[in-house]
Amino acid sequence: MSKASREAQLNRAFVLLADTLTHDYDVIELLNTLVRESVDLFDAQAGGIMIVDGTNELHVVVSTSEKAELVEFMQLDAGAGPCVQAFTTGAAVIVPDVGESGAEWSQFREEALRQGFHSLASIPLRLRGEIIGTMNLMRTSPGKLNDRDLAAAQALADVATIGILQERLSRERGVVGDQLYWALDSRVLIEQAKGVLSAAFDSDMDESFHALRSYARSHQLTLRKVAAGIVDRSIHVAEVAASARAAERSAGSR
Amino acid sequence: MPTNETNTGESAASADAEFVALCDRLVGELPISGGSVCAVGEKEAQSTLWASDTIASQLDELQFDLGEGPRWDATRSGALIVVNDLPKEATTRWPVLAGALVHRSIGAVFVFPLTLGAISVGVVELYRETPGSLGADSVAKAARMARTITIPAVTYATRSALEDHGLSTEFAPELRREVHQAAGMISYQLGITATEAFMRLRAHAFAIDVPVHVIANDVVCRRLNFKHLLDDHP
Repeated sequence: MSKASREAQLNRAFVLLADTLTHDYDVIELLNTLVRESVDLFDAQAGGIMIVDGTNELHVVVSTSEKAELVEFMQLDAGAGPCVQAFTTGAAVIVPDVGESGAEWSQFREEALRQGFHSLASIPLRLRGEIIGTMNLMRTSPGKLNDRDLAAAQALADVATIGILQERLSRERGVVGDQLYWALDSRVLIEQAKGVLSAAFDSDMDESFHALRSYARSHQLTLRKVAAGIVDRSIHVAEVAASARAAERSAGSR
Repeated sequence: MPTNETNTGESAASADAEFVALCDRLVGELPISGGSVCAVGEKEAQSTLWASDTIASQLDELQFDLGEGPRWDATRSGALIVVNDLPKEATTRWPVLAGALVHRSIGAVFVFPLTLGAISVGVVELYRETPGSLGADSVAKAARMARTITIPAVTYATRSALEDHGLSTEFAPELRREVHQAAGMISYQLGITATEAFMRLRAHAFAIDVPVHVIANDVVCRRLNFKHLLDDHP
């Protein structure tokens, strides 16, 4: 490939990735774009991306072929092979000739050769010390990615990584917002329920809260559920009073 | 485990200190007189977390009591609300609030919404005693500070709401728990929903020109029963 068209192709890949990132994008689509473009650019015949899950295990998320054996191959690589090495060290691993790879990767080597892969590059998806997975590019002939190609592949992977981490952050922020809403609404309900009980029993707020809590315990319900029930009258105040008296009696008899 | 308890307590205390330090920076680094930070829930539950002074605290309370003002516009729209001349603009935009603002030294108000993705989780409300624009640079800086304060504010508000006794301070009444207790009592006394009861409470406070929290305290301390109030004014 001529130098000029190569530059153009690389630019196109960056623009495509950036495009995928602009609006409400789908992470899978982003990763698909990354692996498809990388396979094209770096003359690979197959590729895939593995992402780490909450228990620190790598899983194939996208691959250029849905063939089960390709997926299985990468999963095997995640046990002992260049992919897991790239993941643990955070540095790209290049295997120019699979046939000459070390003995510790014997299973990986056997399976790679069986599927006709003779060289491979595994590029970490990383951002500031955090490694979230790897991109793996497989070739049917021996040979190694030159430094320029490797730098380009890493740059593409970096762009995708920023996208993934941003999406993750925004999901986490959604959870934080939900927790706030839940906590504020729960507290308002609990205080209102204390007021209802306090007016009904002519008790103070502490006594009302104890009655609320003892009803929740004896019925194995959350405070919020009981509070909401008292406020919307689906739980009758007399039931709460009876429950509180029973709790007092059993406490007294002990 | 006691060790964990202590650690949790310590990290919570340092998070609180960090949040308050961020709030103090608003007043320290912006050309304003004061401000407040509050978190809002889904159903208009509102938790005032910090306020710099009495005036900021009153502005917060007036808007809570009256149910209108730039604060509400900001939380509903998620947009920055700039009021360069509050006494003048309030008469048309927030007429009830305008009446309550007379003789208070609030010239301008700037409300920066706190958002997480698409949802509105609170506001940073800044005021200046004299009317006038805040200026583009200060608006940009305040918006940045509001973004920085969002997660610490939400964390603080969430933790406070989960505690049996919230983290209220002199100027920041947190969720105004007594108001919700009073609404619960009134709802029982009158056989109405808690939302209606809160409206009654708010309306009565407005009618006799007393803050909602004062009426709420009267209700909770049995100095005022809305059932009797109804008999007096049929």
